[in-house]
Amino acid sequence: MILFDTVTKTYRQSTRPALAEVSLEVARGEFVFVVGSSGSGKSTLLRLVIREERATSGRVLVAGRELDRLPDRGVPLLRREVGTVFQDFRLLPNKTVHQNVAFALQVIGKSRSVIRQTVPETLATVGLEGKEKRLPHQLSGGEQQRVAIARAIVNKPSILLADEPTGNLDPATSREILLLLERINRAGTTVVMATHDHEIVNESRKRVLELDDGRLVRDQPEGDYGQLNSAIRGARVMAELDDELREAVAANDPGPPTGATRLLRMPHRHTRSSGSASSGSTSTAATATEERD
Amino acid sequence: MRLGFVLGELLTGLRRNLSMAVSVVLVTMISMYLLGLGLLAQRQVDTMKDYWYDRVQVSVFLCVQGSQYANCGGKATTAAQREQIRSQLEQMKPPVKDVFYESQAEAFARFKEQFKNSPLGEQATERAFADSFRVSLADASKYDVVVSSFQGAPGVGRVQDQKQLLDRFFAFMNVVSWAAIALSALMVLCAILLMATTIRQTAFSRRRETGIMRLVGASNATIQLPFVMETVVSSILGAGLALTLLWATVRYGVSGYLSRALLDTAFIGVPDVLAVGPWILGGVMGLAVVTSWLTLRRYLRV
Repeated sequence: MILFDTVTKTYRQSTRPALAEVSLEVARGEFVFVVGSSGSGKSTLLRLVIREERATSGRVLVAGRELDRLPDRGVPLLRREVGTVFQDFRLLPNKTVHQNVAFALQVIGKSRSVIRQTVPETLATVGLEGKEKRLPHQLSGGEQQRVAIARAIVNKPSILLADEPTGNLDPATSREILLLLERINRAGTTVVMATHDHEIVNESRKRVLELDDGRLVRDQPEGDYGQLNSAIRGARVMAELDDELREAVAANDPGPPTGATRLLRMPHRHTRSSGSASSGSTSTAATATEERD
Repeated sequence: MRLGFVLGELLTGLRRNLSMAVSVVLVTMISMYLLGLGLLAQRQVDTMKDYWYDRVQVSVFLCVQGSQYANCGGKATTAAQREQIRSQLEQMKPPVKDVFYESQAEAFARFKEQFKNSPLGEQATERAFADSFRVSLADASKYDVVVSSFQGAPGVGRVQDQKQLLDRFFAFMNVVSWAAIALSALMVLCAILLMATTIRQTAFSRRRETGIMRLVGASNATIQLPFVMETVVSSILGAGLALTLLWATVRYGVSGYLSRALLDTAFIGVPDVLAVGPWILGGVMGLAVVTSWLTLRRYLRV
């Protein structure tokens, strides 16, 4: 259903690839978790599937289409076969639940009779009967995500992509959303879910793809979130940050702090000034005073 | 795409963006009004040319006692000379259509009648006028035949061609109409920029909708159509208002006032507005479509 063949994606204005030589295959009807820390390339992977982005090199095949050779006018047809759900739901705030779901069919030219039949069915599938006339802000987070899922599957796509669909939800609601996704999967839809949610991944025992720094480092059937690995990686990120701080101090850049540098300096200033007070080191104390100016 | 859905989205879009839509309507209206005025002024020139060139006359002024014309030498034209000129003119038909003689006294009387409401009429003296042959031509462009035959002939003071006077007037009218058209071109540029800004702004405020439309696989046409339609509807509304204004200007300003005040001139009428109407509407529509298409290509990526 989805095939990546040594896919590399490098964004413009960036030297490091967001995805580096990733090869993977997801079969029809599979349920796959994509895990990895922020910036590891999960979202890029999903964006490549709906051709929101194009691969820099390598081949991407989705639902029998070679996306590199797909003409622009073929992209809408591809996206009708791939439903997408996001962490922030992306509902239209001034449309009701029913209108939000119907919108997805209206804009692809479905007839009124099809809409009248399909939308209530789909809303029943996701467990939102009786809430058709509510506006998104009158719903809980979990309910809003159900609307978003209903919108994604109302056109009966063969693939459902979910980019951290439980990122804004509490654990109990997350579990419900996962159950819903599993139900949709059992009905035949291929589901690819990018997530940070340890518990859900560990409980479900499904195939796990792990990305780290744009590389596919693990493809494990019935896998877990890989807590240990992430902990090590977390420590590594902290160490890198620390290095950057040290370099910033060494350079003692006199320019006005802007954006990120200012953020980086703040904690640093406190540690150093307190350190200088106890050790009495003149050089670091000088740095600290300059920093304060 | 269902028609009802498209129209519904169109109305919502216009309502939500009312002030921008109104500004597009107004700027289009003003630019098209100016353009229309320019085009109508050109048609007025054509109408007047048709009218006047039929009536254009060549005047052959004769000499009178104490005449200022160099050719006269201060002497009046003799009766023999006058008859010589008349028979020569009569022989020049067909380019010459008609010849009639106007004496000094007649010319003076006609002038007094024409300027009876003006101080000019009271100050004029008969001595400022001359006997003349008024020659009307079958073909106004043949005036030079008459001019060259009589310029400097004995007893002829001066040959004057009215067409030259008219041409100077028409040149002036032309400049006015081109100025209006140039001004309207500037306004059209404003209208184009405003349309583009409106579309950019609308595209930004609706990025949520368009994002979802792209996500669920709406075609390019479906995503862009509401923007194009909104621009086209606003600008056609503006052009419609401009045409209404032009109609009112011609109906009440020209037909209702000018042509009654100046009876001896032909003026454009409402049919002329109807003639420029389709061009203005079509032009505006094309402009709106091209502008929105170009803008959307930049700001509404699929």
